[in-house]
Amino acid sequence: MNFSDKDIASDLMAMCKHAAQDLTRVAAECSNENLRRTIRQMRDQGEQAHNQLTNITVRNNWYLPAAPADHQEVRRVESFYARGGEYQTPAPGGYGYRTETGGYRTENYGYRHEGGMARPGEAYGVRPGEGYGAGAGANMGGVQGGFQGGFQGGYPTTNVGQRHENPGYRQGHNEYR
Amino acid sequence: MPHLTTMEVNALREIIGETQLKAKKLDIYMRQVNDQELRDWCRREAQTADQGVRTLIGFLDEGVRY
Repeated sequence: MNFSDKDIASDLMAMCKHAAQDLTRVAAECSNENLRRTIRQMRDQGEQAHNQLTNITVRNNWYLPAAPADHQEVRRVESFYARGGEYQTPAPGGYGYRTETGGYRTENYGYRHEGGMARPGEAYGVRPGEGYGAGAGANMGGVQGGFQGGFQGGYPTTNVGQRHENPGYRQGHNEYR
Repeated sequence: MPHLTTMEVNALREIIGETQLKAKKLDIYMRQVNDQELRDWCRREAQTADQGVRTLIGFLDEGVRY
């Protein structure tokens, strides 16, 4: 079985990325100044090579680079950190902030509820009874106590605060069922 | 003053092994790819990897002599 140029380029890109990570880690662990400098030079050269390879793959349409971020999303994050990393007005019962037009915007992982609050005990963006994807802060919409119950056996989507065996999601399985 | 800690020797062993493998892989890929630009890139990187291996082995040599 032969690899195509595209396959080879993809493998080389992965190899370059791993090499850069390994060299960065090793350099941080070195106390010998000369060795650390040499390894960092190797890392820098490797990153340049990775960049050149990326350009080759993009030119040949072997690799699809990520699309630019949505401008509104960039502004939303910029605005959050420009305020010191705090929400202006925390939404009752969960995270969120008051929008200019009133009402609370409550967002989580691409799901969006606008113009109203998530109902208490309901994880944002998830219909009651459905499972939740893995990820820290997944239970952002819940009231206190939700985390405790949620992390041990599936995220609660209703009745937050109580342990809720959610059949839709099991830890260690990164999928919905 | 050439001095290596145990951690550095282990790190060198890991990095030298990986870089040697990288050089070998690049050498094989260089002969397989059709795209001229990619082939040139592989050739350059194979040479860089070989050079890197020699440099890193040099640190072990110094450590042995010290």
